[in-house]
Amino acid sequence: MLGALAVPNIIAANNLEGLVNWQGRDPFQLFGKHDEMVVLNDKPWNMEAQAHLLDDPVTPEDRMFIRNNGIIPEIHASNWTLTVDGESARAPKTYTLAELRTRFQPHTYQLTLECGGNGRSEFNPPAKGNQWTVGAVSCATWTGIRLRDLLEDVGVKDGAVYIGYYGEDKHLSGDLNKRPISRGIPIEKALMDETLLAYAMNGKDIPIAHGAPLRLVAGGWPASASGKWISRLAIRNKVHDGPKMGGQSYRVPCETVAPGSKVADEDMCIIESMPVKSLITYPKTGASFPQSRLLEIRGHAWAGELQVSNMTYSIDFGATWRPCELRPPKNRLAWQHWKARIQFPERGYYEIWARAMDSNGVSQPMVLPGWNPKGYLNNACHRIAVKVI
Amino acid sequence: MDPLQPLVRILSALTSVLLLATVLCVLLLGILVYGHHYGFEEMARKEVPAQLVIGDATESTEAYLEVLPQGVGRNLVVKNCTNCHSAKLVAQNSATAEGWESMIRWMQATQNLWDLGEDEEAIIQYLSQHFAPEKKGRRAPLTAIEWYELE
Repeated sequence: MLGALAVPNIIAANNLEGLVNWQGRDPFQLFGKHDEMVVLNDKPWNMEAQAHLLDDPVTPEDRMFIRNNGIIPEIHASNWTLTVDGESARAPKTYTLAELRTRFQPHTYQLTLECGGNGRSEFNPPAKGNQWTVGAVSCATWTGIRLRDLLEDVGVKDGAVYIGYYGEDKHLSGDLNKRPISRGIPIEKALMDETLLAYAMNGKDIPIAHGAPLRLVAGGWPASASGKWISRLAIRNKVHDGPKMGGQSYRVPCETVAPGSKVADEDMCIIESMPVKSLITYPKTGASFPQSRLLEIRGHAWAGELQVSNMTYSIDFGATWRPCELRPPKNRLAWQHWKARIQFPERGYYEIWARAMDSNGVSQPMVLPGWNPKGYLNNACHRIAVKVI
Repeated sequence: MDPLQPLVRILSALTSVLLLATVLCVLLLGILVYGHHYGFEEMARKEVPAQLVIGDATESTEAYLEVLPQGVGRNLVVKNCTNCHSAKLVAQNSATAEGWESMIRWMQATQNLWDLGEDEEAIIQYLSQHFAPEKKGRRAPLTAIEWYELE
């Protein structure tokens, strides 16, 4: 596959009803994914993009990573309900999908979702879990209702701390009494404008692999906070304690540790906003071109809850940095597009390194950031190789 | 009597035999394939009683089993590890014997993995031999670059 992007081989899995057997099938057909997506794990399904697949300003469905902790559920959207309860709910309340769509004002935002473990494959000593490289990030357009509007309708008592989600996905062991994952977000994040209970993605019903018919979207936070296939939300009076909220999952040492350290569960803290990061989405790594060519490079940058304030690139391993043109985000928590043009001084092998800085003045590290037992939050600079001939 | 009658009879007899043979073959193949799956699932069910068997879970793992290199202990890994998750999850990880043991303990504590009994040693031996950590620096060189002419 030289140069130009391959034509996607898409067969959409639109028939949600009755499609139970998700395992042992061709994931590219099953989920309508681009044929250059990479399957990390077939049970549960986990797929990531490559940097050059993410060139679009808004990530299309076929290039969006899939992260599952369990087995994708069978969906019957026609009789799906959402129950909101918990210690801090005034009274439990149940809604049909139709009620959610008609009783509340819809909102649309472009929101960055990045797996907490994106970049895990680079950590040394290696960290356990799916060995994501750079492609577990997306920025699609999500439409739904504000979680805040829903919470107001239910009624939140004083002292609410956290929103915990419950999805319909099944535990890998087949034990129906176990949940693969049940995480959530603090009440402050739940009340933000951009925190959605979404029913549409890129203007269509959410695809099954991405959480149909209803998912949370908490942009800028580890994507595991944005629960899929949601049928219940609990307004908790304490930090939610579902599976993968505690222990070592989606948590990092509260104090920095030396690589390879053992860290007790009680010394781990929950990941909240993701750190500043960027991707070079054009050209694809491995490009060779004549020295006369003025090379355009481009990509996206994002910074969790913050904005990206500055974007630079280097062709000499960080000895010198040149500015990139950086655009503002479409809305808060959307990634930002950047580009630059490079005139190479001489022929030879080069690496192009990209580096973003957030609105607090914090930049991406060139080497790996602090080691942590599960290999989260690797926001080291992305780089590509090119040859000037 | 039609002179062709014996020929027609022979031909129709032959066709019947062929049809019968085909039906028998399909039946036999069906039993073989079904039996194989049934056997595999039975084995898995024996270890995890009263469980939901999700989809045709065995097919998924079988398709990806080639990621596990041949070696002593491989069958034990297939039998004990790929019932719940893909062999690809095993193969993309790397750790020392101690690291693999701690993953097993985590799965036993939280993910319904059973006691591996006397097989545990061979499983850890296989995993730590075939999926050992590589010494990497703070940033590895870029490798496996597919060079192409930029258009």
